[in-house]
Amino acid sequence: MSASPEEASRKIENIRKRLNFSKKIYDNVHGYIDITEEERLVIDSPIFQRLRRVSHLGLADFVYPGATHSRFSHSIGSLHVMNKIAISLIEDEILEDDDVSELRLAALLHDVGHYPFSHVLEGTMTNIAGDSAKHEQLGVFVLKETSLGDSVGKICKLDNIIAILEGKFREPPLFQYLTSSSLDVDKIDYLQRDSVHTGVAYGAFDVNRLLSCLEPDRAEEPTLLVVTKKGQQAIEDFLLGRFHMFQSVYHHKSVVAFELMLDRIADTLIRNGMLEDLSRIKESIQKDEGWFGDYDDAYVWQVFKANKFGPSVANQLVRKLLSRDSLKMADERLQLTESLPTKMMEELAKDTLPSWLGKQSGVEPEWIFYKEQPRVTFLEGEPDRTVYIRTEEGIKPIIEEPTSIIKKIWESRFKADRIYTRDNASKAKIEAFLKKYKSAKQGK
Amino acid sequence: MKPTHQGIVAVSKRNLASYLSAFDLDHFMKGFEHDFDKRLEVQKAIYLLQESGADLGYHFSWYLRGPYSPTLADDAYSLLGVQMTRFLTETEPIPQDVMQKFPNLMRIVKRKSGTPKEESRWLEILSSVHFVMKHSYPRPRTEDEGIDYIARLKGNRFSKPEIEESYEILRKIGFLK
Repeated sequence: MSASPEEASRKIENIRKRLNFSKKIYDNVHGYIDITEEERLVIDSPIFQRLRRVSHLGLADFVYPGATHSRFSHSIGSLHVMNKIAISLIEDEILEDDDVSELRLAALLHDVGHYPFSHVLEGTMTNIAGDSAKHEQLGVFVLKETSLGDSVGKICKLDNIIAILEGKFREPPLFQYLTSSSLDVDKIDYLQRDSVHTGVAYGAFDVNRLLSCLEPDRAEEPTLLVVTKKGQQAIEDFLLGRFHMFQSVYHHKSVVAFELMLDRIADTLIRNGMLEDLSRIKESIQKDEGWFGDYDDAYVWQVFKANKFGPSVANQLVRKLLSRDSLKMADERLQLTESLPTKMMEELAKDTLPSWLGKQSGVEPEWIFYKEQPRVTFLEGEPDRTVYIRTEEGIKPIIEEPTSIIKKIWESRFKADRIYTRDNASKAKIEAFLKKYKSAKQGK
Repeated sequence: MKPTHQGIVAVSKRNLASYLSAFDLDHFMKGFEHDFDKRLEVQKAIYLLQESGADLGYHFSWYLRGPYSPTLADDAYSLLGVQMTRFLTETEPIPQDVMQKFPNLMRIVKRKSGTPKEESRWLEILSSVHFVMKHSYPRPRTEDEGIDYIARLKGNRFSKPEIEESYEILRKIGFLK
């Protein structure tokens, strides 16, 4: 049962008093954000300050020059969004006062383990080492091994924050939905932030309306946030915005081209010991946590620049990247039903696609790049992670609500499987081969 | 079972294909795209396979429907329409322990399930009991505490005797001590 309005105001006043805000940070997306003195100490630590120098969108600024925002502003913004939701859940008597401090910190620290260039270098690391290289896992390692963990421990139980970040925290179960779902605080913040900084207006949505229309499911033990019927347009804007941002920014063909270049350079340098792999990153943190404070975009650029001279593909890619000379796209498949010809699928499975395609088309195999994005997840369909709406008939996933346009765009999901190559001449060779190959297949 | 060469296919995807093929689990992938139960089966079976000692490297988080890995979901989607056996190149042998424990568990799941729907139910409850007892935080101090927690959370779909039986099965075949 919800508290009365007076009781709710008293509770909010109490929580504000308990949190004892000491500073305000002005954020270009949310306005003033209150922080406590203990949170300020966390934010001012060199390890957290490092996030100022980790770009939020990898190399998207090569296409959208304004997209130079950082993981730092996103982390503070996530704290703000989490605070707003947590306070409303206190009003509903779903959360306790102590939960608010924990959730604020979990949101603040959710990206503390991000690699330079965010998801781009993370992709390189996880391709090599699997999920153990995910930024959440590195963040947990950082909290366990550095003085940042001690600062966090002064605010709340460090183990709780670690368990939330690892997705292992079991009570209250609603925490998991708030921190990792299609409607988590991370996405609510970054969609707006990315939209503002890229200038791509599709990502804009009414965040205040959306936040005011969220409520927990009314189960005895809530596990989900539900959007009320009044919030249907706000949530549709949010999801449509995400869909369009995937098309226009996150999977933009040139953004992907530059990111593939960075990925190949980093992969080569890591495998040759010139850039730290996961175990060396962890060893370096354990030896000297100050090292991690310097592990930022500039650090990686410096290593890249030191490797710009020479004949190798990685050397050439560095030079191309520095002069914004992108790979060229030679093939693209966006419809979920489209797939590569069977022979190419076989070569892909054997990991021999570049050598096979290179031989057939006359392009050097090391200059053939394949990027597969099998499903663009602007909204997940899994029951624990999807978005729910409350209708007169009860709570249901928004993709099942006939009056919602989301039901329609869910059906027009897309993928982004692409082949890139060195330059226009190589592109023409691959295109010519694929055309010939396709008509030969059709002729059979 | 780690691949020994470097290439453009992610380590996790290659390993997943190899294990699906080696344990004859390709059938989970049929209709996977459109059927939530199938996707749930893939998640829970792969979780249990990894917990039997398979080096798949997925990180699972705790949700109401049990352990879930977004990376596994992505890998599974990208394997749609591909014959898993094509990935069976240059992989290390499957550890002996995995060869015993996992098929034992799947045999029990099959025996207890009359229908495919039942199979996904058993995989859900077995993986959930395992995750709560072994990985959740705070870790239950006793067997009863863990069982009561799951009964509270999933009581509308699983009976307490089913949860207790799942715990016993996992203990008997060595998934839980």
